[in-house]
Amino acid sequence: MNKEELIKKLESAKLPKIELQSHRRQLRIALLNADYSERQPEVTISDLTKSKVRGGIEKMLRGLVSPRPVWKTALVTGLAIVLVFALAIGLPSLIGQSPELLAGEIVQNSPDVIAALGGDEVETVRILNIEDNMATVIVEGKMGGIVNALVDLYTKVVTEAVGGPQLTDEEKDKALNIATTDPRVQEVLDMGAVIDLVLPMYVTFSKVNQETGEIEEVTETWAQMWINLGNRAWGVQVDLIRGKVVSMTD
Amino acid sequence: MNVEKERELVERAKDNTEAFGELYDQYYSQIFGYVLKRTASIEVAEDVTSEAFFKALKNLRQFHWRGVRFSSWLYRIATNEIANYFTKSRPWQSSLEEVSNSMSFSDALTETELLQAEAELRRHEDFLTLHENISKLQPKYQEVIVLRFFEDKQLKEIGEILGKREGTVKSLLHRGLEKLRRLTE
Repeated sequence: MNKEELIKKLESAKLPKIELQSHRRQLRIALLNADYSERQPEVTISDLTKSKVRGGIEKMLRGLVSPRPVWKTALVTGLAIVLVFALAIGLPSLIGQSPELLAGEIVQNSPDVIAALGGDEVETVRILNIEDNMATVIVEGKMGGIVNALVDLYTKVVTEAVGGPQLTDEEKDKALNIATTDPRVQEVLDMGAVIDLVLPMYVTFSKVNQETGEIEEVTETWAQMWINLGNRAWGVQVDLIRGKVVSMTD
Repeated sequence: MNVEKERELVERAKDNTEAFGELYDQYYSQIFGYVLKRTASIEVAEDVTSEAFFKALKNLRQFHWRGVRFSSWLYRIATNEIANYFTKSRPWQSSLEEVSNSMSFSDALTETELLQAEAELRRHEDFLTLHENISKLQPKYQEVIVLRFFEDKQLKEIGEILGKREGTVKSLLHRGLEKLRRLTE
């Protein structure tokens, strides 16, 4: 290949715009609040963790803190400050009631959740995540049905309630086999932790069909499970197709 | 955005958070895109872009208009952060799998978006093949080649970004292309 051909190749191999909107949004919030926090030195993480929303913040910290650089810390600080202000200004009715309790209350009274459970009553509500006033929860019905729901804590409405088929016994066994052979999972199980719940999760992504060259949207069924040890809990995502633990979060 | 407007916005951003937000909105895509083209990894691009913007925010008051545009200054910070990423041993410098392990468990939507973006990136085999060879070059050649061909920057602007004379950029580009040509044979 001569130089001209190489230049042509370089000019034609353009990469289109690829972006992660969630990263763009979160980084913006973190940057703006990092700047804000510099001008408000009296607000610190330790102050925040002593506040009434300690539970919610700790939940965030569990999900966000990792051995990463400064921006991660700022991101956590930013989100924590946003949460405090959201609670103080946007959700005055919440003072004295934790976001977790509120999410549970909304879910229990939601006709959409009841419908997704096939008319069954809610037995337990597990809060997976609370961010930007949106709670991601898993609802278990008395008859064993499971619904994934998104709860808007500001408007107090369930915005999405999706029921779905459960994992087969074979899939559950496979998930457990994969998880229990993972060294990270083994480590906590050796400490006496127990696997509490195994549920499906659906992951959708684009894939090139090797035969036709067409881009297809593919949805795969993975498993998610909870491991409990006293007050500690871990979430584990298992890719059933590739046979590996994709993530484990304390 | 014209130069005057940008200059006024940068001055405001030194004391005004919202103005910095406007600059961020204006340049996020460019910087993320540049880092992605240098690293060919969505997750690394996320981390490096974040670092670059935090550095820009922290050092904004030290930025003065001395023949270097704000966008070039941002590119320069991003270029330095990429170099840091590849040269320093950091706890967060880890494989794709390790990085994904530290993601929030419950953020399934974000993970789906990440998987989709990775799938989109993997579709562009021509780019990835070229990137593989470019990444074997010394960073000084990688920088000029990516800025010239993937970011469509002119030699003068590349000089601004890298803090080099136009003639030096031209020479680096010439030698970099020659080395890349040999690698692609």
